[in-house]
Amino acid sequence: MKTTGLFDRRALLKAATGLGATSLLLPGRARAQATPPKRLVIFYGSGALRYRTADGFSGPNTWEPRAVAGQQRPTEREWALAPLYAALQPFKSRMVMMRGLGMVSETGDTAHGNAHQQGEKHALCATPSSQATMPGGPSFDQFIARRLNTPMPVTPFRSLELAVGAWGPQGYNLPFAESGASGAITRVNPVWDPRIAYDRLLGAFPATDPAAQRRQARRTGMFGLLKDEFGGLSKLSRGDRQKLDAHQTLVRDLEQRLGLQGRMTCSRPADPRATMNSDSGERGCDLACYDSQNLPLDPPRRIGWEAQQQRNWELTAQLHTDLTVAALACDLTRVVSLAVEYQPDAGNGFDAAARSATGSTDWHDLVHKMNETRAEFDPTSPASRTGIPIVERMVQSELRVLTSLLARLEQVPEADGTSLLDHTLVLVCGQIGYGSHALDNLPWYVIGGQWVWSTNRYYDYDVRVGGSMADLPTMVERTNRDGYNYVQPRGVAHNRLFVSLANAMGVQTNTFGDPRFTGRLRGL
Amino acid sequence: MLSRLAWFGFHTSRMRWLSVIGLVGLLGCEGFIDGSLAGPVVPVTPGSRSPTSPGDPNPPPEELEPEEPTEEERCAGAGLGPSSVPMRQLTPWEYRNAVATLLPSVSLPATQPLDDIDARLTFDNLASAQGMTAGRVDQFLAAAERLAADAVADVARLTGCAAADAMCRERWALAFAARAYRRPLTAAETTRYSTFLRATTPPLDATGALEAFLAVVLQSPHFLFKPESGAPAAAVNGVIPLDGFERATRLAFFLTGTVPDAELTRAAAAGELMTPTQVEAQARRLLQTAGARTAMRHFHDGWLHASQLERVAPSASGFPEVRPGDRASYQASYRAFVDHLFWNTPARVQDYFLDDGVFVDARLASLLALPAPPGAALERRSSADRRGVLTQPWFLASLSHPEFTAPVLRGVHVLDRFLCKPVGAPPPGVNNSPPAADVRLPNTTRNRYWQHANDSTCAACHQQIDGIGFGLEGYDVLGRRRTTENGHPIDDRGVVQSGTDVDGAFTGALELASKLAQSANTERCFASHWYEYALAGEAKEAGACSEVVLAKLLKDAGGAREFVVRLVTSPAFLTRAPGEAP
Repeated sequence: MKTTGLFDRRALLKAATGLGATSLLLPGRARAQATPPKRLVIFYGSGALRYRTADGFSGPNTWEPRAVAGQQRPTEREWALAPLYAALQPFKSRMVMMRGLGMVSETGDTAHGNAHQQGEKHALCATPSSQATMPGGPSFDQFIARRLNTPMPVTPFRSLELAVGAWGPQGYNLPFAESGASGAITRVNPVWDPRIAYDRLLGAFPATDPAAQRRQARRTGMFGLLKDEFGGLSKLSRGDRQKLDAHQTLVRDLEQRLGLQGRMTCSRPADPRATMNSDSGERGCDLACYDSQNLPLDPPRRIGWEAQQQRNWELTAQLHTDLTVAALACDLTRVVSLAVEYQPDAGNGFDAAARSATGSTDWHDLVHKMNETRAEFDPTSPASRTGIPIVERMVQSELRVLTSLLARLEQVPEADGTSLLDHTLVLVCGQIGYGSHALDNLPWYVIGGQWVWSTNRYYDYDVRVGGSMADLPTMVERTNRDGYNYVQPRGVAHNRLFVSLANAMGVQTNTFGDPRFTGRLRGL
Repeated sequence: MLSRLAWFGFHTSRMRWLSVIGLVGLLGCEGFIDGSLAGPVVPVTPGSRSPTSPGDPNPPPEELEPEEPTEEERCAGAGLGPSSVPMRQLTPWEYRNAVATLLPSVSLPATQPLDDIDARLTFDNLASAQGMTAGRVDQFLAAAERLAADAVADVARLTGCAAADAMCRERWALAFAARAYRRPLTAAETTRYSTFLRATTPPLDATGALEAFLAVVLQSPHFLFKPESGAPAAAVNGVIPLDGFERATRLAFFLTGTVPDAELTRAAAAGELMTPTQVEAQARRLLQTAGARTAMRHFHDGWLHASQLERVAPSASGFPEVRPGDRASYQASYRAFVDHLFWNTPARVQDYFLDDGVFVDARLASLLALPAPPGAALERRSSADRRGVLTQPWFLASLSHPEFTAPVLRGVHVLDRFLCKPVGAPPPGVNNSPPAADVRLPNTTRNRYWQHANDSTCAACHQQIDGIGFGLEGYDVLGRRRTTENGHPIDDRGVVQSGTDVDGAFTGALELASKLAQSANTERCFASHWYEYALAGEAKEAGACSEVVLAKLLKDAGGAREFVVRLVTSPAFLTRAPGEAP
């Protein structure tokens, strides 16, 4: 295979073309079932959005739906995608756009981190926390995964968490958390390297060869013996005993989940290693030369680390998409979280000249500045004329990953003739509302769910219906008990969105996270 | 608070004066209290208290408030209590070390099990932060199956038994489990395992049974956890001594990062770990092994946040002299430095902060303009520009941004890791990206951060943080000494405001290093970090006086290397507090 740089050129081209890409790992047919099961995908982006358009502060936010021709403003049924979201047009009929949701659960915190930490704590967990950087409860994906697999597991893996370019190296965590042993909240860290993710899934893909039969026999024996391992520790304290009991429960759950793999009928995807190879061919590419967190490579490849970062980011995103589709199609899991953040600067034109023109040191700073109200960052200023297109390219990069995923899900036929996408609920969300540390007016949207609600809808939950975010800079600041000033998140609690999504997934609940907020969202 | 005034020259037992001095300072030497004329406040200095007269309406404060003993006085004679941390779990690092010891013929990818420890923890083994989740159980299964499959690919090599000698293989398997569990197998376990290994039904043959057995052991709670019940019958005042095998496990993981070796296991079985003297002998022996070098370095990895070295990435345009692979030179320099400090010096706080050496290979020597070593091995170069950790090129480079230094990261590191004064997160809503240069000011890193001093929201914390970081501005992104930046002279005046005995103004890293080296707070913090690493818990869990006692233990030991031995022979290490009843 002729290669350039780390990866196969053809794979890169496919990754770059996004929507039109044909699958590298696409399974032929989703697992045969009479009624296809519902799946949940959490698409967790960076929030690198702007709330201002080139018109200044008077118009709608960059992402907000627009009025159709002849109308003053968008309505529930008649609305158009913002120009920034034009790539979503093929999926508009499946979408529900929302406006006015906020992470209101943040107001219940007794310890605050910075805005990013607040966002990571509340985006998916949505419940008050007593620690600055630790969520107060399990994240929505884990909640659904647990409920779907209770009382008996239904898939070999409860959930799958994948990430590309996430903020880990910056000291921020992703929002996935679950109630671990003894009820303590434990982070669920995603997998960055597609090879590791593939290896974890591999054992659960269906296989009928003699080797697979032997493995099955070994596992049967293994779990039989492992069961008795928990009996010989009688002198432990109550707390330690609980820890051990929780472990035992998890092992029992694992055994049951793995027992499900024999019923699979779809085929195994290709190993990502096939598309990830070293540039010189002298040695296999391991983590030392492949860095999916987009850190500078050591040593840089021939093309320079910035270009390599870009390739890594794009290909990792593509491979994760492949694994997501494969895992859902083969029913290895019904809950996948895909974090797509922290893009390399090179691909978006954020080079030294742009840094100088915008006075920004990194993309995080750039996104902030392009959302600031200072005169030097007026949308018509030289800094903004350089910076705004870069921020918008970042949004487009994330959208390419999303639309690629949606297109791929649409290509997988279910046994009943529908597509995998027809049975998948996708929540597009993020840590920060948009690029000014806001935790309100979340630019989130949902794709799917047409089995319970009408799609191609736009719901404005803002109490000031039809208002704009023009008054954002004057928003009341409050002082929390730590003495920090923070912008009071406002709007409709996003807990209600999670209740709607849970119900759509067949999970009956009237609350998620912060118990102060109950019930579903209007329309959902 | 007591130590805050130490640099004023006050004796700690007289710290009650602090409140008076503080009040005087606030009021500006004389003034009014509560709107009433209280008369001039006489500046008070220790040893020259103002005379009082009967009926004096303003008696000196010590008469208002009886003196309380200082922490040191209160803790005189106190010892280290037993630890009460929850049951520990193998960390990913310990797991990898353990399987490398148990199955030397196979290797595990460095990413298995996934290292998902919160990077913000100082040490990766904090028991209270550990937990088992569905994802981790998945990972342990994947790792165990892979290891077991690789191991049985060559059973003869694995077990040393002839192919037909089933009894030999069974003995090996049972011994393997005992070693993994760090204790003898019970009779019930032996019976159960033997039965399992002998009963092979198609398609599972004897090798398949052995493979499944290995996978069981590697997922067993007896392997993945470190359960401790001790010997309750031997409890004294409720303090339960750990049994010999539990002590061996603690010793082995702390001092070698892996399961006990054969001699330690023998000593445990022979009851030779029941007295501090016996434990000391084993500890000194273990410290001579190769595993000790790995384990002691792992302490430094946590304390000095070595994972930050992965972030060394000077910008190619700003530092064209940097070449691909230079990060590895910084990492090697770090390893050589901490190895040297721990093994070739007594490893006192003073050694860490005053050592004038830098370890360089040819590349680092070139970057730092030091004589290059002739071969590939790193060599130590003394330099007047260097004084301990603060001036190490790897330390400075890892706490830098690609294009300029990071005084905030440097300040936070000093406060958190050297003074045990952790800094909270920035307020919500703050843009915490490093600021761009302000064109109105000379282009220096210090000037980039002018807003921190001038914005009251920032200043509250950043005066403490930046005050330290600015003092290290005499070293650039690569850790090189510098006197100018972009043509402007370097201003490396700094100030420490930490509520410790290091507080006060200083100029340059060398002066700050001297202050840290002389600080009782630094020593106490260093000792506490060792406890945290050794016991996987927080120092305060060993009693109210634990930090004072640990500091004294470190001082008496004359350095960390000897302190390690004192620590493992202390009650904190050899006993456990009674937990809740089963």
